[in-house]
Amino acid sequence: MKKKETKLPELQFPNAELLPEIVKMLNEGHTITLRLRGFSMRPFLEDNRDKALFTKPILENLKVGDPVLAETMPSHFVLHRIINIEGEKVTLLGDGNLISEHCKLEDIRGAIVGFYRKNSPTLDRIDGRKWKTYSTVWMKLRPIRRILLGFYRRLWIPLFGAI
Amino acid sequence: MRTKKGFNLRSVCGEYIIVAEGEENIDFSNVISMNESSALLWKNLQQRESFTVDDMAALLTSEYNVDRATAFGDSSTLAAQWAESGIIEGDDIPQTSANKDDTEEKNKSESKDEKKTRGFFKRLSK
Repeated sequence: MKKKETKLPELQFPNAELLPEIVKMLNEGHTITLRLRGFSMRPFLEDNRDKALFTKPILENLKVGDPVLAETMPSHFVLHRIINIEGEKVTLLGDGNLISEHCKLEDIRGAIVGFYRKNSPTLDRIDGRKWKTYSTVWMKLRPIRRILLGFYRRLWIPLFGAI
Repeated sequence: MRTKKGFNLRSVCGEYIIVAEGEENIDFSNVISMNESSALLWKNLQQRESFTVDDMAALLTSEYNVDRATAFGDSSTLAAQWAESGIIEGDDIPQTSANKDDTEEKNKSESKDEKKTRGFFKRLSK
């Protein structure tokens, strides 16, 4: 006899539909924990594994190096790192990307408090030592990022899994 | 049994979901989907101090064209699922045999995970 399936299926929403609702809640003053999708913040963050704690951004306090949730095109959201701010113009670059993206300061919809990696219950805050050290090192390595990411994707992950 | 505090019903993208809400944080990393009838039950039961499978069946029969026996069976399955998801608590939660098997399997896979090596950043810092 077939066993009755009682497990609840995991529910996933397309980001284009879910994120506008998330942004609304951020603006209402809530903070939001959300599982991350995509590979653009490798090597620190992994698709569908890690979570981020979002809060409403204070635009004046944003600075180069901060990871943010931005709506780079209508209904197109990315979680990338700010690499340059010039007045209203913001340049974003995902840690796992080679090409930067641009948006306006007002397109930044969410700030990050920190990340939960690998189902860990402890938050790696972006003002904490781990994130800061990683950020400094990873940004210094930007000239050879293409090689590092290629090595990580083709050799490291198949052999050892995501870090 | 009773519903745990902080698990509120929300309607997002046309779906009913239960999300864990604290004082300010809303956790979307672990949402539980609800169909229309279970959403209706949850909304009702959340306002009660406690409830039984009988209460759930009564709500279902009053709202939908379903006989008592079916409603009771479905309610007890649903309550077991809710308990597994950790959104209700109490001593009178119905257990199904399939449910027990699942938890055993879960325990097995959890112990496997523990054998995994420490994380990369942990290895670096120690």
